Amino acid sequence: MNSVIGLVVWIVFYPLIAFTVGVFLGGYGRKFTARVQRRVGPSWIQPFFDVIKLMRKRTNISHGYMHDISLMMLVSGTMLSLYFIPVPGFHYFSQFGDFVVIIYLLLIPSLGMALGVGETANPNGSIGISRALQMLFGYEVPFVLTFIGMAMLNGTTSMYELVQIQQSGGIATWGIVTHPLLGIAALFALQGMMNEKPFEVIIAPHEIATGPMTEMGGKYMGMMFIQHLINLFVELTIYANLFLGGAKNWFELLFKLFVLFTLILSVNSVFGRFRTDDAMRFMWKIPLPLAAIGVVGIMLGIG
Amino acid sequence: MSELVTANDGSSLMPGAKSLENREYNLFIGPNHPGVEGNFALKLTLEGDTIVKAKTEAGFLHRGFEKLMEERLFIQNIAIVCRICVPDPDPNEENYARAIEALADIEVPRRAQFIRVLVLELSRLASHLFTFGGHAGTIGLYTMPNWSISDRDRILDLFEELTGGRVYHIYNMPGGVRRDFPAGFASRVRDVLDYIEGRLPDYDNLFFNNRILRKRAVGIGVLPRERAMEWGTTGPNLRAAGFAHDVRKDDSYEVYNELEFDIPTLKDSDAYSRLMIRRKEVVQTIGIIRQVLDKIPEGPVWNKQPNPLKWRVPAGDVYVRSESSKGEYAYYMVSDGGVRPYRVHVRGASVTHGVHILENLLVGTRIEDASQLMFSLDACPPEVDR
Repeated sequence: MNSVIGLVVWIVFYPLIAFTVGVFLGGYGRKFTARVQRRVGPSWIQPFFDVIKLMRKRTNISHGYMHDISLMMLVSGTMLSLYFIPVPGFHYFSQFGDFVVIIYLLLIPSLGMALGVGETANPNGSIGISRALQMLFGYEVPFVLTFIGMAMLNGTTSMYELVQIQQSGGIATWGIVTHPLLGIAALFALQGMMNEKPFEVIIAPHEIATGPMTEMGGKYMGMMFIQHLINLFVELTIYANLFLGGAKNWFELLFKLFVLFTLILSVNSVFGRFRTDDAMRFMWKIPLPLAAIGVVGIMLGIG
Repeated sequence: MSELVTANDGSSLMPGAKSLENREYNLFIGPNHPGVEGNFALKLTLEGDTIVKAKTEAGFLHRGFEKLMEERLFIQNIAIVCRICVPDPDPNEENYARAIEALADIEVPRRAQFIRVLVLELSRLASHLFTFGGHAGTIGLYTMPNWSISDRDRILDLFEELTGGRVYHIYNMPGGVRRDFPAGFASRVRDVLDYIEGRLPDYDNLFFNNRILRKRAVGIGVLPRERAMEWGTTGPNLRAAGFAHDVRKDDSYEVYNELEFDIPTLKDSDAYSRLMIRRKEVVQTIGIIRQVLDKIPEGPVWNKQPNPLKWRVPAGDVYVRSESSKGEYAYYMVSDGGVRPYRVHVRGASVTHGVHILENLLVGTRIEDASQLMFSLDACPPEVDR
């Protein structure tokens, strides 16, 4: 019975925990970027204030039901994928869905956003969405390939089992150590997944006036913020679980997430953005061959 | 445009239906778009990501400067002309003052001439730093605008100390400048120059040598060399096309002929060259300001003029020009001997660069590069519709 109550508590509070961590990650990101830019930067929990402010706003413009539903798809797709990602103390749903399910669920927000933004008929939004779907092919292929490599090596597609295997032998068994090519390829893909520069082509304010966000305001924007913050946690945790040995406790997990995010922010702060075609070209020229070589190496028993 | 559905004889089965070949759509950029320089707008027609037609619209900031000047006293217009170009206001003030001086045959003290050059070059430096930030913003490198615009603030501090204003200075008066250096000002100018010079390697590492900038800016918006003169290009944009033309050398004014500086040129005439020419000019400008500080003589800074409320400037017309950070500025002033100018016409660089050249270069460019192309030409929107 206790385990059932514990499960219910996790189901209720896990998204809140992810959101809270996302708020701190988002705040840290803004603070870090501000310091690189020689600014003081906002408060560490500024994203929380932003969400509260946006959700309190009254929205007068609606672009129809599909526009409203798309935002539910956006948030629910991310939250659903969250449940399948094992974290210290909670891996109940991992037994029902492996990495393939997570990747599938993570596609839902992009498709939801495409439907909703298409409904607004704003050309900036449409260009942004077409870029988002293009980029999906850019980073998704190398990222899936790196996972295929890890799955072949460890004989499982379960993220929980992958974490267990990596934790059995300490740092020496971490994915990034045993297969650095896959780890590096996934790191590039992660930069694209997180829409950070140089792959930040979807928002691109100077080019398409923030793209999909152009017609979003008030609560719609608030929902996008919530999704973005939870997504920060989801994507970083996936990488930590695949290549950094997961975590035995939350302190370790948070430490890894912040270190990983610092790396991504560092690149983000000192690079501009690629053109869309260059971003795609880069993804298919560098991370994809790296991942492919890594997988072939595993098939040949090297490493 | 071919019809959507045609019969065997070629006649339309659906008259009026749009063709599938009609893939063009319109995109309005500005004036609240982050990728637009000031209160300005672009009306683009695109096919996919490629711009097939471009039209600029500059009417968002119309203040009727030229007409206003006809209704105001000569002295009052000094507060108007600086607003014609916000990032680089001083060439307007200096040109306007010099035009009146030419009409009224007023001599400017030598110290005032040196101070004018110092102010003009500080303004050029501030304007270029602003441009670097703007250009970097178009490719998403937001660290650079934060750096260069905060560094520019040090120059604005100097302006505030010297003139009382940070952005608009209203400092150049017919007959000289409003006031002399405050105590210790020259040494503070040197400190700021040393600081900015020390920052240039950081700028290079972060921005000018950034591989993504090169990838994005090289070969974008090439202004053909043979067209550059024909289209009336001036200033850094002309020098980026390989022409060593600079009013400070070719038709020297104030004390520029007593100062040593080079006119950097580049050949490629693309967005990257136009940016790099400004980077090179920053070095020259710092050198000019140092020379001014070394050579500036003692003496008065203003030849007192008659009561400005009753001041009648002799009848005549005059054309004066100068080199601003945006290109060539010129003022054509006509006086009928009254207390107000009869006509003041401003020849700015931005109509040429920000309208005619931009509209031509945008065609064939991709939407990703539209904003970058606009910033590389470094136009000043208020000056377009003046």
